[in-house]
Parts: sequence; C-alpha cells; structure tokens
Amino acid sequence: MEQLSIALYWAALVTTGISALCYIGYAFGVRTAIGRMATNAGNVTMTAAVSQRMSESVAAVGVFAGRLATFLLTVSLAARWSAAGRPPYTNMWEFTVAFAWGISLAYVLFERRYRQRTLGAFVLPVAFGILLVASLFPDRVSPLIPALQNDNVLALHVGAMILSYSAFSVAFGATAMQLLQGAERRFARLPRASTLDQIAYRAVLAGFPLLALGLLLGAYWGNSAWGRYWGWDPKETSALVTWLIFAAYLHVRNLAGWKGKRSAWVVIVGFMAVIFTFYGVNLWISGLHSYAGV
Amino acid sequence: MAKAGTSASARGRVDTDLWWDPFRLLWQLFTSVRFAFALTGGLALAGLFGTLIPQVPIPMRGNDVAVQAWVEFQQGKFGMFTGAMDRLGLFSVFTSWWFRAAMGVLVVSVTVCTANRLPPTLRNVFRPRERVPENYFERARSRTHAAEPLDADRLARALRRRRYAVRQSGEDGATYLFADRFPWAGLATFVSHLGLILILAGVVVSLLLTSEAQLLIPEGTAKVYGKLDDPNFMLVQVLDTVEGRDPQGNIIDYHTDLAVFRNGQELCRGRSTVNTPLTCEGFRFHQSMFSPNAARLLVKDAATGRTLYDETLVLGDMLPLPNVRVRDAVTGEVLYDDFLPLTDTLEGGQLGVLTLPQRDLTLLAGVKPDDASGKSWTLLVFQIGAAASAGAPVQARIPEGGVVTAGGLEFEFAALGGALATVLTDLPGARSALVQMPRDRAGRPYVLLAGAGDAPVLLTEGHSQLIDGRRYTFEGQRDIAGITVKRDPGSKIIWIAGGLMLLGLLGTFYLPRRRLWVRIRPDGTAFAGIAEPTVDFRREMARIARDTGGSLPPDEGEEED
Repeated sequence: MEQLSIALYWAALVTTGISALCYIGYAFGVRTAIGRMATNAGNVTMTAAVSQRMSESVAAVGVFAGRLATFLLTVSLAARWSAAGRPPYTNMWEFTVAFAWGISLAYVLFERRYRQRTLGAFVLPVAFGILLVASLFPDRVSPLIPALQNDNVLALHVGAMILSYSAFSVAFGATAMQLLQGAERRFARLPRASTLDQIAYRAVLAGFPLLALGLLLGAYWGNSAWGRYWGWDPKETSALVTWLIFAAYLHVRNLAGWKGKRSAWVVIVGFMAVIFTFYGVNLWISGLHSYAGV
Repeated sequence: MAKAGTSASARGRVDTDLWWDPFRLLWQLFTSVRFAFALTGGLALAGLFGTLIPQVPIPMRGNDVAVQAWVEFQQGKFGMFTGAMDRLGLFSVFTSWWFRAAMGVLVVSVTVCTANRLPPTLRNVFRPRERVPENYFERARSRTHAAEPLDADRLARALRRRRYAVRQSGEDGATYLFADRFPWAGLATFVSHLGLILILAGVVVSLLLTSEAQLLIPEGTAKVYGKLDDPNFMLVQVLDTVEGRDPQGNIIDYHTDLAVFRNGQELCRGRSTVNTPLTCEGFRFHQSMFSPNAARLLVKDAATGRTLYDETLVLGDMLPLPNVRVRDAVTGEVLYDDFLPLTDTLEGGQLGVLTLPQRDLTLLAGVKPDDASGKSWTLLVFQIGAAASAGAPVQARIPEGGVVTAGGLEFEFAALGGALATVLTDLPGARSALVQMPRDRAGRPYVLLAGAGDAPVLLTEGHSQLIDGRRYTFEGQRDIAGITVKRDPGSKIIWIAGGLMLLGLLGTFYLPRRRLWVRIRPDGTAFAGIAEPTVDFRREMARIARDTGGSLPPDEGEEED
C-alpha cells in the first residue's frame, strides 16, 4: 500500500501538470498550429500553417486531468492511511500531498459551483508546485511518535487546517487572476475582476471558519498533550497570524467597503502567511510542531 | 461579521466637533474599522516577530540570570542589535507589556464595536422596516419585475414554503408583501464576537487562576504537590513509568501509572499517557517528560544495619566525561583506555585522577572548554608527586581527537562524552557529595561518589562500599516521569467560547438570510430585496416569480460571469 500511495502520487503529479498546462492554454488563448501543408511546385517549396485558438476540448482535457489528479491523490492518501494505520498527516511529504489534494478538491468544487474554467490556470499550477515540493521530502511511512497518537483529533485538526489552506489557495488563484485582469478587463477570455473578487471572497468564507475550527481543535489537543491550550509555539502563532489577516480582510471588505485591488492584496498577504505557516515554520523554525518536519 | 454599516462611526470617521470630548473620541476610535484593521495588522506583525525571532524558553522565564545568559548567547546571531532587541522585548514578544497592552486594546475594541452595532441590529431584526419607499423598487441592487400582477396569496404561500415569514398590506390599489427569512441570523455576528471576547476572558482567567507544578518523580517514589496547609495538598506517586519502543528502536509510547493521595487517602489511581492525562479532583496529571536518568542510592549503618539514607536521585546535570587512551610511547602497550570520571572542579574545568598501576604513576587529568561556547575542549594531564619512572614530569595539553607524547607516554583525547550527575547536601557522611552515573563499555551504569570519604568511590549496581562505618549501595538505575499537575479553570471558558465563535461564524456566513419587498399593482409585480453579498438574490427572485406564474424578461435570472 505504501508503494501504491507513492506511485499514485507521481501519477497525480504528472496529471496535475498536464491539467495546469491545458488550463493555462485555454485561459490565455494560446494559438496552436493544427495543420501544415507543403507542396513542391517546380523549384518552389510552399508551406502554409493554419492555427486557431485552443478549443474547448483542450479545456475539457484540463478538467478531466484535474479531476483525475484529485481522484489519484484521494486514493494515494487512502492507501497511505491504510499502510500507516493512522491519518496521513504526520510528516512533510504527507502534509504536502494532502495540501495539494485539498487544493485540487477545492478547485473542482469551485469550478463546478461557479463554472469559471479559466480559474484553473491560476489554481492548478499552485497544486502542481506543491506536489513538486513534496518530491523533495522523504516519502516513507514512519511510526507515529507518542505525541501524535490521537488519530481522531489528528485527522480533524490537520484535516481542517489543510482544507482551510486549500480554500485560501483557491482565493489566492482568483485574486492573482483578478489583479492581472484589472478593472479595465485586460483579457477578454478571463472573467471580470468583480466576479473573481466574489469567488475569492467565497473561498475565504469557506476557509476562515475551517481555520478557526483547526485552531480550536489544535488548542484542545494541546491542552491534552501538553497541558495548555495555547503556548505561542511558532506554528500556532503563525496560524493565528494567518487567521487574523483573513479576519482583517473580511472586516475591511464588509465594513469598510474595501473591494477590488485593496482587498485583493490582503488575500495575497494572507496566502503568503499560509505558505509561511505550512513550510517556513516547519523547515526553519524549531518548536513543539518540529516533529512534523522532514 | 455584519454587512457594510452606514453609520459614521462604522466607517471610522471622526467628527470634527468631538475633539473636546475624550470619551466620544475614544468611542469613535474603538468603533473605527481602520483602527481595528491597524490593530489587527500590528498584532499579526508582532506574531510574526515572535515566530521569526527566538523567544526566551518558557522554563527560563522568571530566572533573570538564565535569561541574561540566554540573551548573551543570542549575540552570536544578532550582534550589536541584541541589546536593543532585548530592551524592546523582541525576545519575549508574547509576555511583553506592549503586546499585552495591544491585546487589551483589542478586547476593548471588539467589545465597543459589538456594543455599538448591537442596538441597530436588534432594531433591524425585531422591528424590521416592512415598507420601503416606492423608488426603492427601481434602484435596489437586487430587484426584478414581472409584467403581470401576481396573485398575492399564492406568492405568500410560495415564500412561506421557502421559509420566509410574510406580512401583507395594501394601499392605493397596490398590495405589498414583506418577506423575511432567518432574520435572527443577523445576530450571529454578535455570537461570534461574543465568543472571541470570551476566549480572551478565558485566557485572563487562566493567567490568574491556573495552578500548575512540574514534578520529576522517579519510578516507585512520590512527590508532594502544594503545601501542607494548602487544601489542594496531594501526594503523587509514580507506580510505573514506561518508554515503549518498536523493534526498530523508534519510541512509540510513553505512559505512567499514577496514584494520588490526600490526607493518607487514595484519591485516584490510573494511567497518564501523552495524549490522555489522568484527571483527578479537577486536576490533570500530564505525562510531560520521561527520563532514564535516576539512580537509587542506599546508605546503611554498617554496625547496626539501620538504613540512614534511601533515595532515588534525579541526575539532572551533565558533567564532561573524556575518553582517554594512554600508551607506552616506545612499545605501544595500552596502559589506559576508558572514560575518565572527573570529580573535582578547578579553574573552570573538571578534574579527576588517572592512575596507571603498570607504571606506578598517578596523574591528574581534566578537561576545560576552549571558549565560552563550549564547542571545543582540551584535555590537561599533570603529574603529581615524584615520578617513579625516569624522565621529566608528565605535563600535556591535548586537543579533542589529538595525541600528545609526554614523559615517555602517548596521551590521546579520543572523545568527550557526558556523565549524569547531581550534588547532594544531605548524604550521610558527606558535607557535599557529587554523584555521577556514567556507563561502562558494556553500557552498564555505575555510580561514582565523591565527597564521602577521602577519595571518590565507584559503586557498581548491587554492590556496596564501606566508608567510615557506613555501607553505600547503588541499587540501580531508575526511570523518572515528568508529571505536570495542572488545574486551569479558564480552559472550560475557552471551549464554550470557541464553540460560540464557530456557531457565530457559520450563522453569519452560511445561514441564507433574505429580506424581500414585493409590490403588486395592475401594471405588474416589482421585487426588491437584500441578502448577503454571496448570493445571487436577483436570480432567486426570478425563480419565485416564475413559480407563481410571472413572466420575466428573458435575461432575468441568468448568472453573471
């Protein structure tokens, strides 16, 4: 099962890459040569190329590959769970693969809900990048240290954090697209900035309560395992900072009327905090969550 | 979280005629969204500092000497900025006065904001505006229009099926419907803010009322929690403490079996693991540490057999333990090859006696760190008394890993290990005794006792040494459990507050709150309403109109891209 989970991860890496490329091609209307004719007329060689915009079928390939990648990652994580006999969230490889799974799942749900395929051009590359990062970490199943031996809370706490970060990743993709698009609608093929602003907002609405839940479950677990619900450990502090940034985003957007570019930059900063919490703290700063390192 | 407010205070404006009224100015400040944003941003930045900059370890806090030493150590990383950073509290961000003050201001700000928005929200929920101006049907953000007058009763029934509360009125030949769905969801934002305030209140309760102690209890012994006159006085006994490993040597389990007594009565008995502390009389007994570093020492009067001392000693210190090899420089014969226990202190180093019986030679040998960092050490060897063998007195300085020849002998400082140790002031026959527990080459622990008698004595497990009429016995190595005893009345508040906050967030974001006004006239039916910005209310209105027989323009109800 362990080997199966690793093999499926590699398959998902490839399919996510294909999906990301297809989405990018579709979103930016890359022209492609579909035919080439050559003829010899005496001493003259004539070549004609015919090109057209990447069609809906390319987008369909992207959609299929994206969903296939989500499926492969789901089975990979399930196989990992089965092989390890505990939730697959206990080292950097497992976190990272689960994060990529969460992003691709969140993207599939948002694409189904809002029918904006071009969003994949900004979200799927994030998932692909995360999967590439996973290849840098050891992929072997290791025994669970005593502090992590709480399967239910482990699954809920880390699961909530991963899903919230995944939703924020979708918000980041939509926001990056929004900033690129601008109020003047630079790219006809991409959705309007206001639509992207709404998608980002809804993604934050999904991620924000999940992050609150994850923090509370972490506090509950910390209270059991370490005897305190909060200890300003770098990982928990960084997650709280992320929560505060998105809390600020929701308040300035809803109460101060910040929309468009200004609120978009808050989302970008929030996503940077997600990445810092996820990788920066684990790889460069020691703390009580250091066992979750490489 | 509520929708965009319209009051001046909610927008953070400060009226110019309020400059003379400090309370109103403060009210304006605390209800300002910009101020809340700046405060939240400041706290996030402080959190980032606290994450990126090393913080004084918790066990050192309150110990000025230890903290100062730790800060000095940081100079290697932060150089000339270390002092300024220390004065700014950047090494203890979360316990600094300015961080606590900012948290206090945040509590006040959230409370004031909540109080400020409560009355209008209550009015809006319980006394909603049932009629809107006529022109609202032409300018509402979410609105639609059916070409024909719809049947008011049928429309009301359709709305009720969708969980709207409907009120109907009429005027000047027109019928008006006011439909409200989940109006109380507007209060959810107060529930989440109340939860946040209660979380911070719970933290304050924890800070003020938590009882906590860290007990290091060797297996088979007990330690006291509290003072004798304290009603919480308890005796905590460790019956068994275990570090479990799998066949590959990975640690897979820590647990301790405990018994808790008060006034001679057993209160509780049970197992504490890392994730499931033992709970007893409102206290939690957490397995916070495990160590195999304790030694049981027994002292008896040799004449009477009476036990004078029987303790399991926690060996919390670590002394340097050099691995020394001595060979004959000519023949290469190995004269000594072992770890050399050091029992005395001299000029910042540790000193021991190195005896070479083959040469009838007694040397003093010791180690000294080369600098304050303690990263590299030097072995020093001196000869005391007259040398039995010919040649100059032995004197050598040997770097770690190095070999030096002196007095016809070749000294090698092979490696530097460590010996667990503690100092006793209550050991019979010794004013102050140093107890070390090194391990021999086979990994068996033994005790080196200095301070009882003229010379240090070596005690192997189960064997005794007679010193000045007392028999000293090393009964063996024991395990120690670190047990954190804690009662935190704030934690219950935290869980209730956290639940409230989550409920509030879900209610705010996910309860499909709607408010709809409908005007039915012979020339058609107009719909206008408000909903959370995350829903396409115009589309919903169109669906309701169609369900009740209305015909709408063909593009109505289509979602925007």
